[in-house]
Amino acid sequence: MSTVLVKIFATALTLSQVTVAPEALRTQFDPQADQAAVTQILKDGCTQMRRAFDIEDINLDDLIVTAMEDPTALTSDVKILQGLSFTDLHTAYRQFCKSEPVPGPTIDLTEVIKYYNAALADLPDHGKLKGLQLPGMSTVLDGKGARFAEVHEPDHRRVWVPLASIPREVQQAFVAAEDKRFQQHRGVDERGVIRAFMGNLAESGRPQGGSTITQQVAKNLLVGDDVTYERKMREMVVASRIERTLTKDEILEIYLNSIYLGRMSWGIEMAARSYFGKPASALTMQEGALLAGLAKGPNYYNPERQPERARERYAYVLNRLQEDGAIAPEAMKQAVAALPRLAAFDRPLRTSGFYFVDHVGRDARTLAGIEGITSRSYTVKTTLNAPLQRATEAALQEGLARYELSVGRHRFAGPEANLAEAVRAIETAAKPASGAPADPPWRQALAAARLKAYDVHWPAAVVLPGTRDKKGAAEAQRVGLADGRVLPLTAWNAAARRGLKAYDVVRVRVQEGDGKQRAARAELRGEPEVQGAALVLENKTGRILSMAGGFSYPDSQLNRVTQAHRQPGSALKPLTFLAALGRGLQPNTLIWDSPVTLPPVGGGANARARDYWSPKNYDGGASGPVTLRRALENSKNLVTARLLDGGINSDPEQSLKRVCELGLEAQLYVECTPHYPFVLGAQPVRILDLAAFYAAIANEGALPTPHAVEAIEDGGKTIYARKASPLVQLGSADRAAFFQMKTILQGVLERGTGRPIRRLAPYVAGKTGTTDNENDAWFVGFTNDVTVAVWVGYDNADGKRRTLGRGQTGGKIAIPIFEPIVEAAWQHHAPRTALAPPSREAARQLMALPIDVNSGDRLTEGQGRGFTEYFRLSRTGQLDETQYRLVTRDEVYAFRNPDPYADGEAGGWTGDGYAYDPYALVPGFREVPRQDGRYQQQQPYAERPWWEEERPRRRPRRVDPDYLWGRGPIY
Amino acid sequence: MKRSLALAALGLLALPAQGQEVKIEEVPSVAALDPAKLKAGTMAFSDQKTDGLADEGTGLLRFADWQRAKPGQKQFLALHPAYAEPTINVVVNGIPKRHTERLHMYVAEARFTVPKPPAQIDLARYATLDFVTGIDPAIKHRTITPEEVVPHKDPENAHNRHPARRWCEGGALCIESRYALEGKLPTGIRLANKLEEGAKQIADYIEFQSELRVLPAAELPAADLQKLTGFGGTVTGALEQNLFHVNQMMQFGKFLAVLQADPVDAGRTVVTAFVALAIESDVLDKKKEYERVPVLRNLVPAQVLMGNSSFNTGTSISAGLPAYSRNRLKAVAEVLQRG
Repeated sequence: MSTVLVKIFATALTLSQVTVAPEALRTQFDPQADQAAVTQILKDGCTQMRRAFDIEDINLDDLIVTAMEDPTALTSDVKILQGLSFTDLHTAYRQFCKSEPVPGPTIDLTEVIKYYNAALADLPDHGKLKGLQLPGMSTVLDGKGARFAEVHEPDHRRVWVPLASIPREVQQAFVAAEDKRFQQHRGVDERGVIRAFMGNLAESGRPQGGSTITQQVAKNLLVGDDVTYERKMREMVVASRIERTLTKDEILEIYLNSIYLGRMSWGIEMAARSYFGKPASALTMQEGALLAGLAKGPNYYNPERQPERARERYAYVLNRLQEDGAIAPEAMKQAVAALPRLAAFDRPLRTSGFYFVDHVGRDARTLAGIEGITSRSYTVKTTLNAPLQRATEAALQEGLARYELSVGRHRFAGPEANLAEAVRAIETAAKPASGAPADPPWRQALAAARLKAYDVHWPAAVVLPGTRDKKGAAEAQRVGLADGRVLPLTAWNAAARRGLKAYDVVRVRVQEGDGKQRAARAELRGEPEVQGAALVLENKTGRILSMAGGFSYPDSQLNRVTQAHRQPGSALKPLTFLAALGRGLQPNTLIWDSPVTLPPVGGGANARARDYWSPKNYDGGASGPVTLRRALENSKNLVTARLLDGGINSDPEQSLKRVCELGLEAQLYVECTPHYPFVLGAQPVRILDLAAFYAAIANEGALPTPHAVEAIEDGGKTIYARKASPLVQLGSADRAAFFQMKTILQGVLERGTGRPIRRLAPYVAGKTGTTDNENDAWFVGFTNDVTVAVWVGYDNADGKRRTLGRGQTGGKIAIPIFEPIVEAAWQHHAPRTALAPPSREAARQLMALPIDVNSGDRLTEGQGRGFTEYFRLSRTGQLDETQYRLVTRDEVYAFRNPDPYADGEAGGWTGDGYAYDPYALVPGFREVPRQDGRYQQQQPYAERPWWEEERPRRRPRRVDPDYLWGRGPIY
Repeated sequence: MKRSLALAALGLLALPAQGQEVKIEEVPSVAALDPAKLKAGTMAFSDQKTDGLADEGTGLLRFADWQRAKPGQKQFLALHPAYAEPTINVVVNGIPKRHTERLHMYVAEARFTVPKPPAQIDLARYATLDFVTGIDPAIKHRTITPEEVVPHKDPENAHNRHPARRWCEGGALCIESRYALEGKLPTGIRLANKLEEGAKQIADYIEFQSELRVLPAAELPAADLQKLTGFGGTVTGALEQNLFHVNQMMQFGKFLAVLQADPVDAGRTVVTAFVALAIESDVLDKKKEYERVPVLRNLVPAQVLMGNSSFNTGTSISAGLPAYSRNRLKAVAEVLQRG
């Protein structure tokens, strides 16, 4: 017995049961004991077939005999379907349909039963379709309520609607088109199965399904779409069981909500919106008929690309509706005259905001207690500013590339795609020009290309075939842009362009011409290896206006704004200075910028020399007495450390504890490791939290809670709405201290490490940050309205950190990214305004007085305007001078020359021999929590601090020979 | 089997049952056959399967190839000399469409001699209903009026009107004929109709309208007819039957018998007869996918039409076009020979 005959009879056994007595269906038979039962089932099935086709009165025997007279039918070497013989089929027909004795065991029922049992083992649970709701597409709205993004799982871009909201005639159209006996059959339509079988006999390469709507549901949701007998059998049985468990309406609802109808639309509701710009409930009969026609092949019957074909299919559905009596002939005639008017295809292509939307998905799950944002069709109102988001991403991407270009690290890994084949296809298919000239093939191909780096904002360009220059000599490489322009391609070096071939797709930065000497050109860009992140937060509300969690989402989905912890370096210094200001030190308080060594925390008598902490300034120098303001403006490590030693508390440990408390209260950390380098930003922090802290400074201590989700609706019902609540005022420092900090951070731009954007100083305050060995570069700044945080660094790989390179500070790398973002915030969110003066509450505690900004000396009348410093007043309204509280007037004399040009960035927090670094255990970018909840331990940072590699020459100590007060303390 | 398992046919001329049977001799080309070499009581027959022009799959000639390669045949064997494949209006699911009906030609030729001088053969004797009724008992005929002619009364069939005259006028016999398919074909058609739900139901009969007439002298261009027959004898008369409406599968049909004097034997008349049938090409494509499948291929319309199916039966249309043509031309030869 041929294998195929076994399969056919196993299928027949299935078909017989589901059509004759589905309630008694058995999925297992005993190969020996049940042969009689199986024989009877097959006989019953044969009778059922004749009844179903209404051919009981047709003498099939005559026809079969006549057909079998074909001499080739009996020729043993003429086979179809992998060895199936018609003679065997005929014998089987006689055996099971005629109950005739047949010579020889043509049909081995033992084999048939074994195959049947194996095929129907472990059937999927059809019961889970009861009450099923398939994943849906949620809509993410931006801060203005405009649709920004669609979120859905692959192949689940749908909005589930109940059957009751789908017009009756639309339901009828689908039934008419796909399964005319849907209301009559019990899951399987034997006529369809037999017809498909016959079709497959002739053209086995193009299998036909012959599936009912119920079978399609079974196939799509439970059984899979293998083209095998086993699958067909399982599909029939599951379909039969579905029919016994679900009502016809329930089955139809699942079907109408699950099928793919083109235009990236799954289900009737999404298709209705996409094709007709209306909900399914508003569909007309004609529109429903068109959609029903698409179910068979949305691409084949695409009404835009194949209008004639689509119209024929549409007419077929209408005709079927007419046959079913669902529409009158006159209505049919009118309807068939033309296809219903289609809405333009609003292709759901998004090129920005992927990290933000990802974040929204995670937040929504927590906030609304939902299974996931794609489990149903939610509407999520967010805080996003769409144009600002795009600008943020573009600024970050360009900034990262420019950094790499500036240090010679930019690499071009190769083209993103090659369109040669697409161009050839377009050229081949080109038709004679009619009307407007068509775009060149490369441009058409580029427009149709789906590029991998879909959120990279450099324009994609097509390398055009080699062209000769005017002299006809050298080949000039040129690229074509989507807007049709053709520009010369330039690159940072020739090697980058080498290897590019015709129709490669590359990313370029368009350098516009000046209209005179310099012509426009396209600068080649590669995907940088360095990473970065940027965030824009609204100060007063904590609304996340934009978020770029990395260079490009398809390249890396790790959101470095929310999921990564990086050492903030000097960007954390304001925390320590705030603690000092909160303790009453005025910004003009002088403090030694000189080496300091602090004993180990809790060290006691057994402390080893290497446990003592001796930080360094970034430049290795020490500038002597410096005001607190100037020290932070220039990011002095030694001063920051010294604040622990008397500036905040006389006990360095207590000072550290105080700074930690402030860090905890500001929600920068959930726990603080008591470790002195903490004050220099050694403990990794989330970018999001650091931005919120800076926003709190902008708000004079009112800490906003960063958030992206405002509300979530499910079918018009609000399931989550963010409650408006006043911001929490941080208690570790008062408004006056925060305002003083704000003015100091403004000074960072005016005089300090933020000088590259000094022109923004009236409007922006901020702080640079560079971590040990230049692993991280930061700039966090704020305006009256927003805080912008920018981080640049390499992802930690295998526990190793990679330096950005000597001298690559926050001021150098992060500020060029910060600047266009803050400009964009002014353009798209709130206009530029000078930083606000102190609030009324803060002003009551403050007095503005002119000082010499370098020395901190108060200026009296006639000494010029000087710099206006805000001094804290005591509770009694008295000015409490602290300029010489930490450094005596005598000591100051010889050291009064803080170098305003030193880059006082951080680094050197570990100090010589200070090997213990508890923060090395904090999870970095590449680490993920293990199943047991613990983090995989990072390798301790083993490289030598930068000063050991290339220790800067220490500036010789200058000594005034007339200095009468001794040489002062040297730690 | 959307259209039919059955065949189209021609109700031609009646043949008295008595008399000697004519033998059929298959030849590569009737036109190339010297009438002097024809034996008495023999009919040379050719249906062009070997001339290299036939479509490989069907053995039939595409209309376009036919009119290019055999303009002489086209002039006399088409429905009229200017006949072109018709562009017709069809309505599919309510959508009206213009559709050029592509055709394949089946052309059979036969030559035989009548042992009488041409002057003694009165062709008008054969242009009668009794005569056609007797030639194939399986086909039933009745006379109709020109007003009943479908191409005249149905605009959708206007493409089959004669451009110069109305059918059946000028003394022609106007006939409507009906042939019920024989053997297992009707059962097969019933089964096909049951299996093919929603498709157009296939009729288990062939119904056609035609005119039978003796060509007037004015329509006997001697040189052209001599070219058609490939024989230079004087043309003395011609009998033709034009099928201008068939209910399924065919667009038109033609029978033409040309009588020529035998220059060698004045007591003999050379008759060259043609049967031309224009089959709708899309019928030949129906279920073509089954052509390679044993058993099922017997149900493919083209296979039945060309007599290659186990369902072919009898001697009439159900036997397939080649057998039917042979039988009917043979009958004509016998009746003329015995006259």
